[in-house]
Amino acid sequence: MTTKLSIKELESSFAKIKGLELLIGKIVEEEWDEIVGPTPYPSITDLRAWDHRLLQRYEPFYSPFCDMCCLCTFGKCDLTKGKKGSCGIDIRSQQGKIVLIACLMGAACHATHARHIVNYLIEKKGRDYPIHLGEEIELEAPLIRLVAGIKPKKLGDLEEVLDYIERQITHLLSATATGQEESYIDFESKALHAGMVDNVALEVADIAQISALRFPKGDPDAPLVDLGMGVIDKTKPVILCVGHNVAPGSEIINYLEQSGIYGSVEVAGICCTAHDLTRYSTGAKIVGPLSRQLIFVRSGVADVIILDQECIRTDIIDEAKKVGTRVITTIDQVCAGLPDMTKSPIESIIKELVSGSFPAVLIHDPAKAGEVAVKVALEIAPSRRAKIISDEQEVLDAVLRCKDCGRCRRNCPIDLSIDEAVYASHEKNFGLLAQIYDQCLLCGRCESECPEHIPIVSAIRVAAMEKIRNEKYKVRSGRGPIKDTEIRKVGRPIVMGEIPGVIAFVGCANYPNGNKELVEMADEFAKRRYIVVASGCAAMDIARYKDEDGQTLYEKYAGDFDAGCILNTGSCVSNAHIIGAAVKIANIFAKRRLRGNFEEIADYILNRIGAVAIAWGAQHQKAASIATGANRLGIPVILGPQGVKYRRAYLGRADKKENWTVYNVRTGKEVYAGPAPEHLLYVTESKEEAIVTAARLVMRPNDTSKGRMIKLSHYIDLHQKLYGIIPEDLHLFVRTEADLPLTMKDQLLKVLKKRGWEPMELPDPTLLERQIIRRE
Amino acid sequence: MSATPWQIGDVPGPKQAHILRPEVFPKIVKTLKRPLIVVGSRKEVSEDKDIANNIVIMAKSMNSPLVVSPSIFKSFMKFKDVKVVCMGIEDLVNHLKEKEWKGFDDKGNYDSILFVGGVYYFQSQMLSTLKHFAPHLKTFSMDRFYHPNAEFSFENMSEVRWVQEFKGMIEMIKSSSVS
Repeated sequence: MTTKLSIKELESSFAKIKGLELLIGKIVEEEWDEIVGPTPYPSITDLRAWDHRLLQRYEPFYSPFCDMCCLCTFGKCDLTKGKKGSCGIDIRSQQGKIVLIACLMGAACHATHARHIVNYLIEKKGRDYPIHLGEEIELEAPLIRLVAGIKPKKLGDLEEVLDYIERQITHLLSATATGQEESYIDFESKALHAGMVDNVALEVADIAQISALRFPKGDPDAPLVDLGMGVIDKTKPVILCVGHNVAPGSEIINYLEQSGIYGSVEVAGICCTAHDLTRYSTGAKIVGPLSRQLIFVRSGVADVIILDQECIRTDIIDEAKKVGTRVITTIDQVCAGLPDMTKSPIESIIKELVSGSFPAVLIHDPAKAGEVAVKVALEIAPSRRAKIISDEQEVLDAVLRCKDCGRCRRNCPIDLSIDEAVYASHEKNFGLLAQIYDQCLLCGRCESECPEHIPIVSAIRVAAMEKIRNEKYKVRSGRGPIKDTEIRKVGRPIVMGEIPGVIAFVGCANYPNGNKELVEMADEFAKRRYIVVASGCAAMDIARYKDEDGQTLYEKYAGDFDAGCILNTGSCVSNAHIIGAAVKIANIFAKRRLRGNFEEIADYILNRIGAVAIAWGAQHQKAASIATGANRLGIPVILGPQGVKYRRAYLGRADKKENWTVYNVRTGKEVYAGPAPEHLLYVTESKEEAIVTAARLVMRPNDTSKGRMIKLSHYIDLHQKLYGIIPEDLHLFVRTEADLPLTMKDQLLKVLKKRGWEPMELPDPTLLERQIIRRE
Repeated sequence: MSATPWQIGDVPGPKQAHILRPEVFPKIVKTLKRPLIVVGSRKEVSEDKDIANNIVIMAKSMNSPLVVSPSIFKSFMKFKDVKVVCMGIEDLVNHLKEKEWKGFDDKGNYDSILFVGGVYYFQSQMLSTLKHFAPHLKTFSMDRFYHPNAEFSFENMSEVRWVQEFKGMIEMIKSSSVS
């Protein structure tokens, strides 16, 4: 970024200047000779035409949570029955605005995370520290190259990208104020922009930490690490890290190593910071996804909790205080009303924490926080543990207060029959409570509603104690990016459709029926030789189940980016590598230029790469922004039923033939290519629907007949297995007879005949007129 | 008359469902010209043969097709004397909100949508979509949960009472359709 200063003519007492031009800014050593595409560092309107093209086919579908707009002092405005608010907004645009705000929350979280980690690493290693992701990865930053149009070589280069992201977020946020944007389609275009910059922020954060903290660099054999509430050794002092930013957690490990006592203190994590701790050191342990937070903190196992950023329960400090656990917050996003002791001497901070005069403090210095955490844990663990009295009897007594009013169930986000389970405990039957544990989000909303103040989550913990003790699983540590060599191997079969698809399990732990369904879905696709990838809490929850041989899916399947494998890329920010893999295929396999060339690559992915994400338990705004960014690149996302609360989907209409035309690059003709992929963002009500929908959404207009045949075989087979019938929409996905699975060809031809099927052209597809190379 | 949403926090705003009494519904049925019954994926409904049978009887009596959420379609495909469509509910609602949609028989959109058996929070949001974007439709929730986003909804009731009331209501619809 440069500023130009021009002085045509200046005459003063000290100088006479004529025709002076000064360029102030960064000198970029240009070593990348790829031609710059049309949209390097795109503004909030540069990709609007692409967005509108997408949104014309995949219209926003809104499910308002609230009938009103409450965003300014004109309100509350009732927007039902077509009414407008005082500012003129209608319900559709108001929903678009809310969606944009949610995506911006997510993008801002990832941007600040990236800024924090880059600043931290620059401070430790310097601006010139190289970005290096291993010998087999030359395409180190596909999203940065694509969007920013630069090839980052050093940590310092990432600052420029972050400046851009932060500017975009500010511009987009301003559009949500009263009296700014008014069109729902343009709110959505802006949400897509927010999603795109979010995805870039993910990549910034992860390539910085992979390079500078020496995380696994695309290693398919990344080590198997411990996961589960049962893996924590309670005989040792325990430090628990919660959140997403690994800086303070890594400093705990550094301090323990420097002191020669690593191994005598347990370092564990909840949520994405746990993934990254194990990427930093295999000695760290993962307690579990964010849903384990309340129950684990209440167990009193942790001596010290380190909080960094995102997905932290806002009552965690109160809960920790109840069991005598000390808390240190470390990032400016989470100050929690605590005294700032960043500049206090270490010994005095330790004294305050150990004595309990300040049971929780704020330290904005990761290294200092790490040292304090270790020293405090070592000091308080023995005496604190001795004081923790088993609360089992107290909990059992409490459930006797239950009057079976049912309000706990009515306040449960997923409508679990908690009332029946609690009431059954009157008869000393704790089996139902233990069953609830398998499905429960452990959010504690039932407790807040209980008029008898029964600690229901604690009761569930006591009832399920045996299960919790046995929660000992293995997850493959987050491997980070996909290697260029892997892309070379699978690029062609993915684009031709011969590998039936890439299915990514992403997002949070807000499941409708527990994590088992997620495991079943991942297993189903891996068995069928799709490429299965996972990240974030979903990657952890895939590990939280063992088969009859006592293996988790990570032990059962290899960790390559290849057919029939399951790999864990890592934390939320590692989602960049899943999305980046699609971009890499376009570049490495198809030789498409990336540099500032967003539309062409998105068009390529939408029409040719059968990748679909399933966010079965999506909950956070970050998941909304990640998904929306993937959507702009043409990657469909399927949500579990709780995802309906994001209030917006992008749905196609398979019955509207006119919506499914593409240009044939080789003739310039506009031809019908079938509804593939049918939706960009779709909410499913059940696991079965999610599986079959994913098998349908991996189909692409570019599939070869062999590829489409393979995809159709799975789609038909899954449809029959889970729904009991041949798909009603089969005729929409068969272009020629050669697409039909050979073993079912005669049977399917009869079905097609009944449905009036006619063969269709197989185009070389694009939505962009400028991609046409020849017109007939 | 007012009721509280089954999920206590599911308060949408000024427009909330009128309470529908099971004994009154058979009279309303007579005013519906093109009803459509939508069965959600809740297993309690699909796995209870009596309830599934009653839903089918209701559909037949009302001359309504049944749209069934894909995961429970197998429980309904055996019923041959009523049109049963397997379709994702969000996809269905996306079609319903278009006034000019041709329906499953090419005769046009439906005039009234009756929901039963849906996952509560999912169904609530689907009803919200129709409330805001499908003024051409009347929506009914036939579950034992008060759904404020419907136009008409049963009030909250116990499962035992709901099963009784539902059965009684079906009998009334059946007999009135015969007469």
